[in-house]
Amino acid sequence: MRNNSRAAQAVLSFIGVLSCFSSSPAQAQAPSKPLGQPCNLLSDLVQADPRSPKPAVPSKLTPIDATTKNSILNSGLPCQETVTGDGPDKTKTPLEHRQRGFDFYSWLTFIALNSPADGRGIDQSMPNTKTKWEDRANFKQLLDVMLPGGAASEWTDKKQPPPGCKSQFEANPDMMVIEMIEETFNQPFKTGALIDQQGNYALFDILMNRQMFDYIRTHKLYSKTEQMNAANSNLKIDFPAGANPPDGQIEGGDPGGIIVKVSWKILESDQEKRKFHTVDALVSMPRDDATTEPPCLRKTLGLVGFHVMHKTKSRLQWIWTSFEHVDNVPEKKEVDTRKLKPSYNFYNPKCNAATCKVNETPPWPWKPEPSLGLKFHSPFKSQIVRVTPLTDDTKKMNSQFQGILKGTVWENYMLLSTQWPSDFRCAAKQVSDPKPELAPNTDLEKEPDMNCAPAPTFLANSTLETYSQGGVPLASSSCMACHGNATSYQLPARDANQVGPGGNSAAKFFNQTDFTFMLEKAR
Amino acid sequence: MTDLPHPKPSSLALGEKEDESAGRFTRRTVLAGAAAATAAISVGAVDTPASAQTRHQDMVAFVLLSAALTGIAEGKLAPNFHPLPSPTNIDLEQSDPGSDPVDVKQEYFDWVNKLHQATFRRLLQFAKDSRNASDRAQAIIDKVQATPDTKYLARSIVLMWYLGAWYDPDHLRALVERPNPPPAKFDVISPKAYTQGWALRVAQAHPMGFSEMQFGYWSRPPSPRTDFIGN
Repeated sequence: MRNNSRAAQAVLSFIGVLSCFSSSPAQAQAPSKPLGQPCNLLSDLVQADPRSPKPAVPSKLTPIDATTKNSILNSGLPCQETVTGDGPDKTKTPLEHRQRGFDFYSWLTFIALNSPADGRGIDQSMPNTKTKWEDRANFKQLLDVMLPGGAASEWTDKKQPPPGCKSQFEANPDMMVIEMIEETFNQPFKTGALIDQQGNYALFDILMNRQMFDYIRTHKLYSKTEQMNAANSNLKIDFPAGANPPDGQIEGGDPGGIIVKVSWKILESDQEKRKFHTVDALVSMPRDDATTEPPCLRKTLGLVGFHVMHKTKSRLQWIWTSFEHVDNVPEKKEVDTRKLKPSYNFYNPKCNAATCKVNETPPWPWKPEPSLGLKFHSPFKSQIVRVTPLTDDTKKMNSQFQGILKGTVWENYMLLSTQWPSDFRCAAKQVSDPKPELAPNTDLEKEPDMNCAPAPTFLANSTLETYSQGGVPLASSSCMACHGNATSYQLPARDANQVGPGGNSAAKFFNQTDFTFMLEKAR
Repeated sequence: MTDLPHPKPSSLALGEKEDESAGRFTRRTVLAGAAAATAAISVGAVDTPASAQTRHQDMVAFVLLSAALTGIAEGKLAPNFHPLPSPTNIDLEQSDPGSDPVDVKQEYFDWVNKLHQATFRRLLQFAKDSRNASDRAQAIIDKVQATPDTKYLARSIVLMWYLGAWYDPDHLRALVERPNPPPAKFDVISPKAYTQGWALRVAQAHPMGFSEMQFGYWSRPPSPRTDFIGN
């Protein structure tokens, strides 16, 4: 009885917490606040105090249902994860408790980023409602930062579309513009294109938030030449990390660096368009030669994959969130037992294994042929199966969040998992002589495991790491294990004994770029 | 812009405090939960509180035993291992054997337990009995050395941690005691065990074909040995 009474108090306190973050309809129409202002302090456990992420005692899971729907959907962007190694289910390990906390954080992040840019709640979304991350006030596409010639830019600069898209863009400057470089149609490590069941290419894009942009701009990392400049020879790339406000306060937190990577499916029928979050986009085809301007195609794109990378003060190896559309592909077990849906975006349930080989890359060439639009050059269609199933815990959480998103297209998206550095002593380790002006002073050279034991060890999105799914060390997709290898064009300080041709240092320098390959795209 | 030096081994995480305090639930509360689950399910192969308690304590003992035998810190062999209430006053029930996504310790435990259960239980008992000795490692080693069966199984366990391979204790004994010993033979326990072998990590290197070290690590001075083995 005593425990029940305490649990009831905890629930009441939780409702109090939620009410601090909920928006009234009048507030919802107000101009949108910057993302993460204030930070979302909700966690998977009911909190003891609305201004503190610390869980109440005894611990109780935060309900995700009709009673909390309005509050959760309007709670905003977490600046930092709030996880603990505890929970009401005492049969779970600390690792499992933390995983649940990270997955809850991932759903909050997904909801915050995909909420309407105009400040309404996500439950007011239509399929084509512009999201926060699609709003240029919040995120910039990578190619709008890494400009031709390594040119500098300001956050407030207007989008400059490729010349072929200019007239269409000027008529509707709100449109998404996707420039087809190799990374737009080819998977990581150039492992191949992904072709949907209608024979169209899947498209990929990368965006960053203002905190990322400001760091790149401050250090002129948008330019290959500037990266190689002596002024950057000692720079340890250290993007800003998100942090909650001081305990007991609402203001004072900051989300830090966030990167979004998305995958799109080209939608051709109105029926399809109702199942996806969509954007009206201009797709600038790959350039074939220097003299001819590539064509610009107007397409409706449906969101099929959604990665979020978020660096926080307590997880300096970043937190890696991955979502997908529920109709992308079946799990291997579903294929084996023939428990299949009538159709998928990247799998044909009517095609036998001999004809449609599973998880095979398309035949060469992979580069889109401008004369074919975005259709692949052969009848090949990707036959993709998810190799690593979602855990039962993640499926359960998905079903709860999908429940409170019912009636919007967002109920058609699911969390695959969240990868996080599980060795937390290692994960938040900072340099021995931190300098306040250089916060967070991330130590990126820790050994022997700079990734601090990623959990889960492997994580792949069927649309973004299609051909590297599985569990083979150093071969299968692991967000951190892969991105930990990212380096820049920086050169070491000039050494008189190691000067090579042209006066540059001949010494090798593999400067870690804080888990992002973005700096390789500097021009 | 600056060159940021490596952290000292004692550098602690910003998020450590919240995680640590939250993670320190006791084994007793785990058992209470397990008991409730047992009552609720009532049928099927449910872990009983007694067996859960034994397995938990055995794993804590296995980590202590392994650290004493290998010279590698408990927290390195079993990430997130927490001796409670303190490292010098270990309560097997309270202590957390650690949970990590690789969890090679469970694989090793199951391997030895399957092949040499009776002798393995004696080794675990040595670790339990010596857990709060002033020199725990030496106390465990002294007991292990007392009889050939425990001594050679302990050697097999050392090789298992360092090489990810299993050298049968009878075979190890034959190598020492027979005038014409047979050639050494072993089984690689699993692909996971291959990647987790400590021999190369102690040498501040990594197994062929597998590395978690940062690209370009070879271009700068190595971190202190303590970063690798914790001691």
